[in-house]
Amino acid sequence: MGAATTASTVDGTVGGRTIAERVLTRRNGLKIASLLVVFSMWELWGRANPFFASYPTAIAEAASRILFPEVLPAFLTTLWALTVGMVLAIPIGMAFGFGLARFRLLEVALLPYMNAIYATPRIALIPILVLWLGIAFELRVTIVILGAVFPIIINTYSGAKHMDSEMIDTGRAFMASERQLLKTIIIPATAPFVFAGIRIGLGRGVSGVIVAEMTAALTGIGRILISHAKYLQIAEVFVGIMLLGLFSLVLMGGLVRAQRRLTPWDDAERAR
Amino acid sequence: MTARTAAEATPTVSQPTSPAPSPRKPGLLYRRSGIWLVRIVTFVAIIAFWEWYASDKSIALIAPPTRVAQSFYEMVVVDQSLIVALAGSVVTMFIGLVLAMLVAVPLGIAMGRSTTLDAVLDPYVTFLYVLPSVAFVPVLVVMLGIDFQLRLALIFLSAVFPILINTIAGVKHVDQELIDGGRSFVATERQIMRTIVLPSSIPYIFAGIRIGFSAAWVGCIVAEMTALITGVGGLLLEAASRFRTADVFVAIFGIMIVAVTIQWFMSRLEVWLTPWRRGETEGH
Repeated sequence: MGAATTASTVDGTVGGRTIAERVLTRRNGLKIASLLVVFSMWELWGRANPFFASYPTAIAEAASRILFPEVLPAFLTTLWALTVGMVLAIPIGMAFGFGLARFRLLEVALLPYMNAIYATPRIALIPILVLWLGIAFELRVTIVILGAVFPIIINTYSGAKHMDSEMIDTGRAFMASERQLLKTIIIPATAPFVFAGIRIGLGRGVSGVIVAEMTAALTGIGRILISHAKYLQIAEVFVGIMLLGLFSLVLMGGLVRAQRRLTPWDDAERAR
Repeated sequence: MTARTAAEATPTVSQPTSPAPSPRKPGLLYRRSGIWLVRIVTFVAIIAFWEWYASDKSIALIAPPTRVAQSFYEMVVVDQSLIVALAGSVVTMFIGLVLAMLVAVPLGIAMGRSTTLDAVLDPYVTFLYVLPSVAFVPVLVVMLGIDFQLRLALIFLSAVFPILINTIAGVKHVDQELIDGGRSFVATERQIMRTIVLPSSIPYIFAGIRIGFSAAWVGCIVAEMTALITGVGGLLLEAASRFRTADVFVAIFGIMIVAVTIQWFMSRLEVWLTPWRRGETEGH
């Protein structure tokens, strides 16, 4: 894990292997070869059927034309709604999750509804939300919150609920105060679940905001996808898709990394 | 690579009736009768609040429960439009889900067992897994037209990657010592597959199918609402465009009932299929 930070020795060796050797593994070689083959096949096939699936060079050309003037500003609009929604959803979700786990009355009364809404596709709520909120910023933020908050609630709840009660008993036996219990046992034990909830929630938030943009709000990256598809500008649509995919990759990769750093006691396996 | 750990994404259907060990007689909130009492009171309170809240609002904005119930009766018993729409959506979802399973499970096992295949396919699988499948709708419309196929394609795309990712993770997490043990007793590849790899990766595959099942339903509704205007998603959209809010709520409940049924059914099935995990899955 920490290899990248210790790699700055004079000859650039890590654990007896040079950086070049670490990058040029068999696995990476296979990946690169595979990408080359697939992209050239896509190119050949796409040139023959340009309106069907476009092709890599056309997408690159379209990207050089519209990425900075059109796609990135739209993307920032989307990102802003996503950020505001997540910033609201995380504390709300955690509060509800801990509340449900802590207070039996809340758990009995509300958990069935939480589970039901969690399972339901949020897109179904968009038409009714349009009636209530209009199609402006509030709609998109609300969709993000609705998408993200329930996974966070349910995961926080199950993390806090199914925690090893022996640990708490041990803490109590050593006269830990409620605050100490919370700080040193409950929060660390629940954190991996909260993280898992945030990750699922973020994924749902992203797709929620895109659907809202495509069907109602007509701004942001959703509009880019829809409006270019309408004029059969498939290469331009793919610019949007690629950007979205890269963004999701970075986001999910970053979250996994942050999770490992913040909760090193959780060995990735456990949260399954 | 990093997306691999997404196998953790387990939609939790909780077991709310696991009481904390208490030396005393179980309190009201831990007894079956008490639980149901609280639930019924909550339900009545919610309905009553909703009725009161909606009473002085426009029917176009929010329909009171009495109107929703009336619409429900009409759409389920009288003209059965909800049943017809739901049936169409659910059948398509099942076809897409089965296709996704048929592709994802064998491919996932192969990718889990062969590092070469895994390296070759990993870039696409990871990319497509993290990419919200909604983003494909505009392209799919151009490729496939607004037809039955589009819905099927989106359902397939939504369901296939969770199943694939989880299957790969499951096969990779098979205890290597078990495989070595099998090898030392000269088990063939087929025997190892059938008696070691498959049984120990079933819980993972199952978790993937569970996520994929829910995702398939989402994909179906998304396709119906963004492109097709058929099925229960189309019903919902049509009602909304005419400001028939009561019908909108009925459609939402229809969608919700299917979603909850899927979750419930899969958690039952999981308990039934992997009895050796009973008790240990508690925390998921």
